Amino acid sequence: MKKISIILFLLVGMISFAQNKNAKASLEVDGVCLMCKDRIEKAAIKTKGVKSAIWNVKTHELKLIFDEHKTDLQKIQQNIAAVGHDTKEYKATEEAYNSVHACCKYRDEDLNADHNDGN
Amino acid sequence: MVIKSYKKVQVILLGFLIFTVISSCKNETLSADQIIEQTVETYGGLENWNAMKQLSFDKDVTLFLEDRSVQRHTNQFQLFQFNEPFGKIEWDENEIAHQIIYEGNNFTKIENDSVINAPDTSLLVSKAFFASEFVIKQPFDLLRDEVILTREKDTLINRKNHYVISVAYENELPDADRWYYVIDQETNYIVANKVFLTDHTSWVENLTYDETTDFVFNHHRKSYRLNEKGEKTYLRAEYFYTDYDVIK
Repeated sequence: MKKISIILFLLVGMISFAQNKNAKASLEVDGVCLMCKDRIEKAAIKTKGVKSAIWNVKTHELKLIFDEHKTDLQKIQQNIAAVGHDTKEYKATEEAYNSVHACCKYRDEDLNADHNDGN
Repeated sequence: MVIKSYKKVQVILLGFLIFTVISSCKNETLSADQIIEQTVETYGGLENWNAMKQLSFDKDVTLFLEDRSVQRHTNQFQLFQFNEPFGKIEWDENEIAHQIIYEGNNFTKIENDSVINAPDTSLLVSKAFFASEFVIKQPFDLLRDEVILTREKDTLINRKNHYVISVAYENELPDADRWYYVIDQETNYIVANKVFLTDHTSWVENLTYDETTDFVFNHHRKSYRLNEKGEKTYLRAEYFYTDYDVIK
């Protein structure tokens, strides 16, 4: 019993030690313009533990630095979806999506094409 | 042979004397603005500072009472964006996850994911945020137009001469805090601040610095309360700043 307790204690210690204070990750987030960029980055950085969030308009890649002790990718994605932007794992609700500006309606294929043409 | 050596010594002494006189004259003629400009340059340069979009760091704060007992200890994460009004301060205390978010001139206080709407917290929250931002922006913020810098009498600390600069702001209230900057004449580093507040005076020593980024930031600071004679009475606060991250 004592041995098991020690092993468990060491295991928990190792797991907490393995958590990175400056973890790096990237996510794909849907959006089309600079207004989307501002909204996505703000939603991410407001999440407790997020230290840096930079979204690329062309590639849709959101680069993140965050403290794994305080947050995780699920929580960050939830917060991004809550302001109307889809990620691979979390789709924004209709209500959240409808709250974004007309120029940010990334689910509209025509609008997406317009943005891609640089219009 | 002896005469030759004596002449050599005389030349060296004369050279040293001229060097001392020139450097002391140079120090005496420098204005408060020039001294702060030198310090800003040493700390990374204004152009470099203005190119920064975001600064973040961890700030470990311990507040002490007069009997040396710990009143409060927090480890905060602070983040400031400079090209738009945005920032946040996060910390855990008494099993509550606290967050202050500043966005578009509005403050939001969050505790364990719930927004706190109490009106009396709003003033405290904004004060805490701006006080932190004020400290981290020094000395760069001292070069703004509305800042009035005055050179005071130099002071000796550890047998080294230090500049003393007092800072005032245009249109400031009569009871505004009065900040003095004590600057090492050799390194241009800010070694201490004397701060006159309405109810007390503080002496804040910058003990070590962080130079892991393009800038010189404070690493370890100690803040002492002073009595009316200007003597240290007790250690009021100790700060450790780590994990600086700059995004340009």
